[in-house]
Amino acid sequence: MTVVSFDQVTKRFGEVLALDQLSLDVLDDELLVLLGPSGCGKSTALRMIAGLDEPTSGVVRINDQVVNGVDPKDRDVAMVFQSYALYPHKSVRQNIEFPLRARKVPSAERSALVDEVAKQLDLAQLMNRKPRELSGGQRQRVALARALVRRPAVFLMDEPLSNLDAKLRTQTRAELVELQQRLHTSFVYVTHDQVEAMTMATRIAVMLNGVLQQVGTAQEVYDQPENVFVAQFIGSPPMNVVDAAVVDHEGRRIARVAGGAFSVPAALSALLDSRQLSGALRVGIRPEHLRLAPPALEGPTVEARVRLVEALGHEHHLICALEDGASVVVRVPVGDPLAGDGEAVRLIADADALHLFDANTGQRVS
Amino acid sequence: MMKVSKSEPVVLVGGKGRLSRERFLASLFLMPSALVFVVFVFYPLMRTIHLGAYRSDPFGNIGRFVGIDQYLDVIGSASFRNSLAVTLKFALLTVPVGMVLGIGLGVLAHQRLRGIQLFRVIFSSTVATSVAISSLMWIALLNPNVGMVNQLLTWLGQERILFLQDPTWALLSVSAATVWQHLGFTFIVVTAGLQAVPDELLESARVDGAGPWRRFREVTLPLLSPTLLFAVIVLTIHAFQSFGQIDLLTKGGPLDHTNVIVYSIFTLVGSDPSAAAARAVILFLVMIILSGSQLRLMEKRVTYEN
Repeated sequence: MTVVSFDQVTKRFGEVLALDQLSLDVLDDELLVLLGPSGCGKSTALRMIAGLDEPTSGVVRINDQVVNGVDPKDRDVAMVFQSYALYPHKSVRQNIEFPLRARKVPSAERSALVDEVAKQLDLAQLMNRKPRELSGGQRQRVALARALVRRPAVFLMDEPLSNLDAKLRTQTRAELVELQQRLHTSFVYVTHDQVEAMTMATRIAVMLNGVLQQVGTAQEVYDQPENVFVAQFIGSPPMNVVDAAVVDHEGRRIARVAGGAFSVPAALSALLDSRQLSGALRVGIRPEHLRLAPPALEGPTVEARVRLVEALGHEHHLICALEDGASVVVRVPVGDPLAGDGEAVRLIADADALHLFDANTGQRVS
Repeated sequence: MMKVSKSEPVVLVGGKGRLSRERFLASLFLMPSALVFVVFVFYPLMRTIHLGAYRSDPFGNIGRFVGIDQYLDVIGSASFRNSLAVTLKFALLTVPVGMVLGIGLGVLAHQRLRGIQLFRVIFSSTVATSVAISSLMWIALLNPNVGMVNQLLTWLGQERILFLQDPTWALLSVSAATVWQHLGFTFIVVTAGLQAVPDELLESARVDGAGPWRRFREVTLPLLSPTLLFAVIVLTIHAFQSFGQIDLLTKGGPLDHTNVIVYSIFTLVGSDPSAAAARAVILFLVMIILSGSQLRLMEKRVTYEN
């Protein structure tokens, strides 16, 4: 079932087009992550669900009701802001019960609800403190409690972890996912951090410049990126994308790049034939699908020079330069043969690991 | 780990020498403002306290030393008590009304409306208006024959009112002029305070289900409270120091109904300078006590952010 739906929603701020014809559904009981760089329209989309911004055109629905023009207080949503937006003059208890008081929930019921959510989020000891007397993580939990106490149809979260330190962020990430699974309520979660998106999302909606690029599970978005932007935005280090020309050479199909070529798998090759596509393409290979070719290896390889070796403990990242200066990253697991700074190497790609993109549109060839 | 044994003296880089050097530099930097304070504030204050301890003769010359007696006489005198009462009434008439109007205009001009910029300029314009000009304007407005207010009353079929000459109206009229005069200041202070209230808090309150009135009362007002406390104290001090508008509008009359303390001091300086000095010192003490207790009383209800 659909909880929130965007139907051809466009938002302009004066001359700026913040959101362009967005159509997207938030399903029941899912954690949908809106992912993209700053200015991509993800926060605008979230604020439209909350009712803090109104669409310029198009329709937003919550539980199948059109909510265009409906005041935030009359929508069944709760929101956690990036800054937490705790009321500084109110105690933790007063902060959490504010939405209940605003909705005129009777006093007895109110304190029962507040106590329950405080227990859930381990805030019981802090109820009389003011926000300024709390740590970042505690403030974050109070903001969460204030949203939870109302049991809304959908929770909206605008980069709620970005003010936490790295360790706490990882921990809170897992807690949020657990919470979502326990509550069986839809979450719409805005972030620019692809790791956060990958680890938390039921589905990810990737956005750029106000346009939705791709929606899918983390694995789908990672394995079959729709375009070069998605391919490079998701994954760390990002996918290597280099200019290529697909040609037939000595009886086999290869993708010629600066300094050599990668062999094109049969499936992709057949696809190219059916589309009658050839010539200017871009080829994408994830760093874990590139490896150093053994010296004796026959067949297409790509010459490169190692510029830098990054040691991460469990693996190494070799940052290499191709003949034309383009940079590619090779991920080498610990124990595999390694090359040093400045060394000349030959690279091969794993079979079936090649992504092809139209050089003009950046769209995936599939 | 570094270990420090007991027998060896520990030398910290730049120990005592640096401290005394910093002290010297600090006093050097403080010197200019300290000098100005001594010459223009502390010395006159001491002189005034000293002067209040002498009697003046009927010709205004300084006579013999009487110590605290003159201060006690002033406190006991009917004319001083009247002035104090008038000043208090004046403060009670001007400060709350000024605050309410200032907050109202501030909130109004804080709305994102078309052309609001123009209103912001208009609302804050009285800051740039001198007491003299403001008073002249009010004299014209309240003039019994040609003033606009009386014109309006006539149109409405009411009797004309001698606003500045009638004992029941004089203080009200001066208060109205004063409220108007200070409105620009209150407006600017409130506007600055409103701009410091984070938008996210108000948006959060909207999503939490709070209507405009609850948002104002429970979010905006508490966050505005330090600003409002500041404005109340400044307006109160202004009220207690009012002189210009009294001198221009009523000269303390009719029958001392608008004879506030500072104006009474001014009229007394020629004939009895030492009694005037004593009044000034007492006003000074009253204001210290008043501002201090305002701070104490209201600080409990004020929220400072972090």
